[in-house]
Amino acid sequence: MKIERLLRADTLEEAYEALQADKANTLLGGGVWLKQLNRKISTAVDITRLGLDTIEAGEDVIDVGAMVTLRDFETHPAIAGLGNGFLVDCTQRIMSVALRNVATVGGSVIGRFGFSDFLTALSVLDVTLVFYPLKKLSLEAFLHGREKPTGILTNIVIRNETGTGCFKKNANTLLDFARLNLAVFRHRGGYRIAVGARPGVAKRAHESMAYLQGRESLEKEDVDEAATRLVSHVKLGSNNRASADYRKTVAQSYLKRALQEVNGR
Amino acid sequence: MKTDIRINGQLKSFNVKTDETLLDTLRRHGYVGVKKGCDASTCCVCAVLLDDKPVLSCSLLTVRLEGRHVTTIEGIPETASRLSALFGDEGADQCGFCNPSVAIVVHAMAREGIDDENGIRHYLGGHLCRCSGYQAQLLAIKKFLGVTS
Repeated sequence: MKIERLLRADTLEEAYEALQADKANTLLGGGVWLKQLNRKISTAVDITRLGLDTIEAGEDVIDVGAMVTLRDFETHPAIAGLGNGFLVDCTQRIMSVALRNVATVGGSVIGRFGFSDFLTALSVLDVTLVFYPLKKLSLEAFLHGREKPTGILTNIVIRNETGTGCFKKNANTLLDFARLNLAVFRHRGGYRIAVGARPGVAKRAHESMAYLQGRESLEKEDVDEAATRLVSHVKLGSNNRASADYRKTVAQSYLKRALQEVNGR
Repeated sequence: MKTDIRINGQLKSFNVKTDETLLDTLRRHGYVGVKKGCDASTCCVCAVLLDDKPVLSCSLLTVRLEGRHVTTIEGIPETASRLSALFGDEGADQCGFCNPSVAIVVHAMAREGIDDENGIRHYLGGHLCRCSGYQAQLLAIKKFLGVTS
């Protein structure tokens, strides 16, 4: 990684113009993975000074600035209060406190990293990404849609809804990337389910969600069917961390356990 | 690029390359209590305090820290000497490579009021001791923080 210049932007407009001016200019998030990039950056654009490091928690939504660190995110009472604290459970198992004091929420989203635990947990919530110049996109559309926004991600808006969440991760230690991760959120009408580190990026299991929609109490057959649909409809592949077969086995077990947990069993 | 940072309470003016990390800047200027281990955002041995919060100095560009406060092991002598005596008592002192970074996070834990073993374990997560002296370190840190349970 080589960086020629740094722009300490004073406004979003200034940052945006710099990014549009040259493809070799890059926006900086927390910068944790910056050194691993094998590329040359002409102007690195720093938006640290733009006040995007606050969380506004209201009744309807929790509005998270893109430059909020993962540590500030996990220690915020509104985040702890959402879905029984499953976002805290997810975030606290990402490497170290010292890393999470550097890594940002925006950087964790915009990278669309396949290994991401954070995106899997967020994927079971109703999340809207806000870009400058003004553009809004759901997290799912951002991860899997055709449109690739070129603006600056400024806010991650999470609907503050009632429900119970659960996050599962398969990794040996805090410092390992997951071989597979899975999140479930039980809300009023049913369940949202997402799987990540497939090794592709987090994806919702729509067929399993549709099957469980509106079911008041889950029987063993329901859970088995949801698990079967999960692995037949969400692509799970092989890489150096795990085989597709291994991932399929783990994903089904995790879904069954997570469904039990969000139902208080 | 000229960057002014307060290090251990003293205002320092650095002229650094844009891609230099805080870790390299600190060591180049004699703050050698900060260690370079993995240099890949993983092992925590490069931890310092940035505005009182522990951060990985290998993962921060110095030029982004204009006007911020950095604390290294050299800036917390009381914590360092008390913890080092407790490490001695518990036999936790081995090669010593991770001791400065452990002292940095213990300082942060004390400030944040961490008061139980789970909290300590969680806070130490990711801090690699090359000699694997975790149990003895934990005993010493519990004594430091006055955690009895």
